[in-house]
Amino acid sequence: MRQREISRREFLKLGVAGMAVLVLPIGCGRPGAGGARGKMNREGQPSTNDDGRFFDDHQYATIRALTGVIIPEDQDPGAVSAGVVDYIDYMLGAFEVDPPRIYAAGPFSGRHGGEANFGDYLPLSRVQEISWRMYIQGSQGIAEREFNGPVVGLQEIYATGVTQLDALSQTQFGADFVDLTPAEQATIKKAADKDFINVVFQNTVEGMYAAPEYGGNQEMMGWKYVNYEGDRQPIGYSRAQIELSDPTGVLSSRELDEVVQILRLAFAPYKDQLL
Amino acid sequence: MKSGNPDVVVIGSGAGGGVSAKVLAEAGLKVLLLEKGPNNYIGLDNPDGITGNHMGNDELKFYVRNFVDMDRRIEPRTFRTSAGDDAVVTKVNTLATTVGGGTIHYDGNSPRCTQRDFRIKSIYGALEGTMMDDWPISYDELEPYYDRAEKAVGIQGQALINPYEEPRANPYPMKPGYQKYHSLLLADTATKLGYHPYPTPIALNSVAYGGRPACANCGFCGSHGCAINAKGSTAVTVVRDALLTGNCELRANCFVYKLNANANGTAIESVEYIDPNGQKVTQAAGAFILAGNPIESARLCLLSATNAFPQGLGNSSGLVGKNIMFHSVYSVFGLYAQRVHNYRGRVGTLGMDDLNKPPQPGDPNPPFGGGVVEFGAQLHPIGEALFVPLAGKLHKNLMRYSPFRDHMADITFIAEDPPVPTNMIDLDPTVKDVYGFPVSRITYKQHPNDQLVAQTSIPKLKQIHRETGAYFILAVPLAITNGGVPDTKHILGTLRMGNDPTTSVTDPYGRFHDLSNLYNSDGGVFVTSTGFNPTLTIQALAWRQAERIAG
Repeated sequence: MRQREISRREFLKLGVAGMAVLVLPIGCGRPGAGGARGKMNREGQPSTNDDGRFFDDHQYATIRALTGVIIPEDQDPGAVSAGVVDYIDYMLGAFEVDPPRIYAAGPFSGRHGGEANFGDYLPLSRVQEISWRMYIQGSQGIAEREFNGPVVGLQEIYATGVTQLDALSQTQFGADFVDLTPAEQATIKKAADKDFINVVFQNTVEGMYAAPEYGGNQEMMGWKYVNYEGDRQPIGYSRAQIELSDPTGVLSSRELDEVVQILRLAFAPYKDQLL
Repeated sequence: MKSGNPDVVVIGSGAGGGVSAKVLAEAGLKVLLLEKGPNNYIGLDNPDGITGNHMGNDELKFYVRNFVDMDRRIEPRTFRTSAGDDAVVTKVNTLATTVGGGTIHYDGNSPRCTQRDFRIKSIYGALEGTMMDDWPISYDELEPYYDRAEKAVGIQGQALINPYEEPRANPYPMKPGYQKYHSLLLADTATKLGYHPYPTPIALNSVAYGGRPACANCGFCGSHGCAINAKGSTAVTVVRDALLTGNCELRANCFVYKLNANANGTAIESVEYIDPNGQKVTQAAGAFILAGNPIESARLCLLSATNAFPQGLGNSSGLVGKNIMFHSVYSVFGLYAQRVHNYRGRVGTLGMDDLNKPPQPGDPNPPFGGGVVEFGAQLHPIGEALFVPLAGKLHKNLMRYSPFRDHMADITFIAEDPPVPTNMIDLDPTVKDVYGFPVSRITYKQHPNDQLVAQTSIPKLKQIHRETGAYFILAVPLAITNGGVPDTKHILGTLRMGNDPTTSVTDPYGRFHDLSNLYNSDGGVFVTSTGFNPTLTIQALAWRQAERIAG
């Protein structure tokens, strides 16, 4: 193994500097308006922690709109209301704070008793840090991250993705992605790079339904609309809540038909594997 | 042996290694327990009780961000279905990489095997294309060790209900906890159809036990570490016991990459590992126990190849890494109008062994094998959204109903897969891990018999749903969620035990035929995969082996 010649602290600084070099040419400065953005999502409830964001204002607005196409608003809140873009922004900026915003400490959130510890984060082991820096920042030519060759990080994937969304939007509709109608945005999403959209889908789902301490699922909007109680420790569930079917939410046959339709659609690609 | 060196180095702190450490340390031997992953407990060696942990009901952290699961970014694996194919980098049956290993994120299901499972060849005869064989030990020999393991990790269960149960010297240490609606719904029908459901033996406290509290039924067992230490992971039970003796030292974040044999290759002298700071360390000891898991243990033997032993250490049979088994796992879902809220409570509280019984008279050409049936599942919203990846309005509709989390009752069928020598792990020629070493390449294809077992068993499970009144039934192989690559969390074989050094790697106590002081105490020694969840059997075998080593 290569001997490390620099201290961990110096290494952290190098990592951040490398990131800036990589991303700045395509229009990413340090965000200065984090608080104001928080207000856009949380209607007068400024975010409690705006350290360690990544996106500039345009990237933020663009990804916010894209998450809204993936999980739209209807009679229930969608990804925009739930602040999913804040989750993604914090994830991309995870290493701007120490310990990085990767693993909430636990074991309890305080929502159902116990000391609230989800807001604190755990220090990473040496190899965990390599893994998460690879994932978020990319390998950037750093030898210990390139044991299987160069890796493109999420920060670059998002920055490039936004640029490409805008290029597609300009070509098709003559405006940036954020300025399109929802229907036009949906069209662009279909035409956009599949790998990029898959990454945003995965991260949008995470931000919609993860514990709110990670920045998304604000006011537990993602949990409430799906009738889900979230983390329950240490109170857990009572005997009756376990042993009896909860009478709320019995599906009508029309609703069951709708579920079956969704399932048939979802499993159509696996038709030959169904037993 | 130099003074100050441990008597035994145990590599891996999961199901087998944790038990090895406890039994050896309590017998007075000096044990060094090396674990590749971090220690997520505070005060594991505190005599007054464990001070804290880093677990929690956090789906993002555990299910998505691999807080305990092996991280495929830094420890990739490659997979192919036959030797002629190029292997692709993908997730292949990862287990938790942390103090406690796979027992941190397992459901806790802890059935014993039956005599049938150890006598599979005698019962069914040979099966073409396999190395199917009887085990070199019997249920009766293992029974006292099942008993010790059940008490040490704390198993809840109810004896004398399951008609296929083997004789037990003692009752379960704890009675079953609350039943789960999901399980009751299906077991009730199964009983009417003539099957024999019984409370699933689980390593979860139904009452305070071993200084740990009763389970709160939070619903975060599978994939997650227990927030309140009610799950009997090896970390909070046997590893803690080992540490409390004062004879065991635990070193976390230490990756062992090499075994060094003596000149004539008859014994191991030392291991080499990378410490938490990335430095290489060489550690001598009197004996060594491989307990990483059957993939990693075989890989370590292969990584330790030298000019004198180019096939890897312990490999005169040529069978190291061969005959890997994963079980074939199927999910049979039924859609119900009422809520089944499977995300509450233990994964499944009832199961049945009726599909794992020996063939009956008048049952011509029975398929080899079968397996345990579990009534239950556990899924949370991120899992649902990723399992059925739909966007837009369809996503909202799906999630409002959350069928897989709230309205689909699941019957899980864990079917025995036979030992096939071409199903194997070896070293990938190009892909490396974060430590710079070749990763495991897994070659695995289902045996035709596996399809036969599915064809005869799945219709019976569908019938249970039909009779229960399911609106819609969906049966899928579990691998569908992982691109067709096995992700059963059951990893067995690769270092099979036996009496004949030409057809097995280890002896009936899990000691390598080739090396007088090298042992395996994970699922590597399994001769066949059996029809049951393997953890308790791994623990019983580790216990029996450790008593032998301690003399």
